[in-house]
Amino acid sequence: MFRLAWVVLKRLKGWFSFYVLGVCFILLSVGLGSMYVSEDKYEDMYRVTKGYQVIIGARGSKNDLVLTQVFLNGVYDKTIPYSLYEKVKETYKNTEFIPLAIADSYQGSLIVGTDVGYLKNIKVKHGVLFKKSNEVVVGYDIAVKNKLQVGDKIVSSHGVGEDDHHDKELKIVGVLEKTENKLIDNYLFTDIKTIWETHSHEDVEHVEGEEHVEHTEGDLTSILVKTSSMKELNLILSDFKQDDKYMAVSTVDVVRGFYNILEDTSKALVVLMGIILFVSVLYVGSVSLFLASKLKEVYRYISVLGYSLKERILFTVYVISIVNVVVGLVSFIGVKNGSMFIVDVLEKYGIMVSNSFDIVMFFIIWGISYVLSAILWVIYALRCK
Amino acid sequence: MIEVKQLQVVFKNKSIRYHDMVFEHGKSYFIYGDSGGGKSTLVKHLSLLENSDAISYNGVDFTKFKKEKEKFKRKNIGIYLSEKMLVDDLTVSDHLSLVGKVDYEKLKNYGLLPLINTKVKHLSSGEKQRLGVLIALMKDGCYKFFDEPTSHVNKSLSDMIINGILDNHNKNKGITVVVSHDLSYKHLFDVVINISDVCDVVEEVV
Repeated sequence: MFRLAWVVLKRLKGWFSFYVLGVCFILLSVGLGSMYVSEDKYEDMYRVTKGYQVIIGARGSKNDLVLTQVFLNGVYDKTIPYSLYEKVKETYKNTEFIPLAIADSYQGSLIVGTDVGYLKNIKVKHGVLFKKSNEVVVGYDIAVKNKLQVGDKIVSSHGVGEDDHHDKELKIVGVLEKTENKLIDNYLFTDIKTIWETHSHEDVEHVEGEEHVEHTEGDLTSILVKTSSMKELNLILSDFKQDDKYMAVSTVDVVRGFYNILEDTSKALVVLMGIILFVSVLYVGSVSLFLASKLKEVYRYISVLGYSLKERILFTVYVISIVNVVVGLVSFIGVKNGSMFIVDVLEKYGIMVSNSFDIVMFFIIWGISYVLSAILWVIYALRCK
Repeated sequence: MIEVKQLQVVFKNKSIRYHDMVFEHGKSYFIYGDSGGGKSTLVKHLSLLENSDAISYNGVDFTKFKKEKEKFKRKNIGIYLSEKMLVDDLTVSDHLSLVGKVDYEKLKNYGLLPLINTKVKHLSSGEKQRLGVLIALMKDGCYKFFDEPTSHVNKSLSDMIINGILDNHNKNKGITVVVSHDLSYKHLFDVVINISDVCDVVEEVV
């Protein structure tokens, strides 16, 4: 019977391929459905923004400023003078300002030039925080990944590309405790002057194509603002509203904007899944009807030859099993890579989604689809005259 | 010996009641008659394709022994119903391999050797018919039933098919039943039956 099943599959491979494709699409749509836009990541975002209600930077894209300076994702290619930092500090007495200069990297991870205020709520696991230029503290994950210890010397890359293009030797003076914030765990932190010194060399060559921010001594990429005074917060926002060169952006507003995209994305994913599921079910149904008529011919022939009902069922089970093994393999590869592809594409556009592809869940769904299809086909085999 | 006792088949718009009859070992039967007269229905019942306690083989009513019936059918009965019993998407070779070892000499005689790897859907009606008859003849056993085995072939191929069936019958000395409209062959058979003589068809008003 297995031989007959194999022969029938071989002769009807075109139709069975259509069937496999249809079932794979059903599994893909279920897989897509299990991929939800991650609220966790956005909660992380809120946690980060809670600390800094406002960010001041050169006028440009608000989203870019928040993404690059608050969430340390990518590069903001505009700078502001250090004098602006001194000015706001002087003007708004009840507010804390943290300067940021992000322009260098180590092994692809950003080196954040700032002051120790940025790390004040973070515990140091080994060593101390940086006190002067050329000293650096490293996040927990990056220290583990690169086996970095206090006293080690690392060479930073000028720019934020992944190519090593050695510029400045920095000494590790501290390794931070692991935090709940992946941004902190994966970056390096140094004094702002370290960044300025690196960028003060005129003869530095840049790797072609590498994103790079030109700095003169005294440049910052942004200023983070933290205050308990709502009055001053509103004052800062309104003062910068009219400014042509600089802007003050409410981080909460920007994250709320991301949330709206998140909701739209969720809805779009559900609709997309529904459409794929509906079309796939119709498609599988039509192909199944055709295959049913083909199997009916086989049943009739083997019945004329005197094959028993048991053998007919065995033949059906073999056919469905072979088909489902192929369905399992194809949809496993499709769902796994497809969902990764979708996650990559969405994240490229700043939409954070969680790929909840779970191998156990996949095999449960596949197993259910296998058993269901086997039951339906066996019932058909039993009822077929 | 196949015995038919009180066989009655009910359709939507008619019922057919067969007279009691006996098909004896060593004899070949030729059944002819009008279309819709009950020839094919009788063959389906005789060949155990339909379940009925009105048919018994050597005194055994197989409706009470389903497992045994399957085994018996598989081992002893060869059937040609029509070319529709074949599977369009399987090849000639696929069909034959399900029956047993392929007899290339017979395949050649039936003009099917060059078509061995051809799917049935690409065969002509005559080729399908020859394949169907060959399948029934290839089966072991001494009970053979052929429903219109020569309807789509020319005279020489018809002769070859009928001779093949009778040769096979002479070898196995079983029971061979051929249903045909072509009366030119009836003299070759031991028993000739006009279907209208052995059954009553009652048309029912729906």
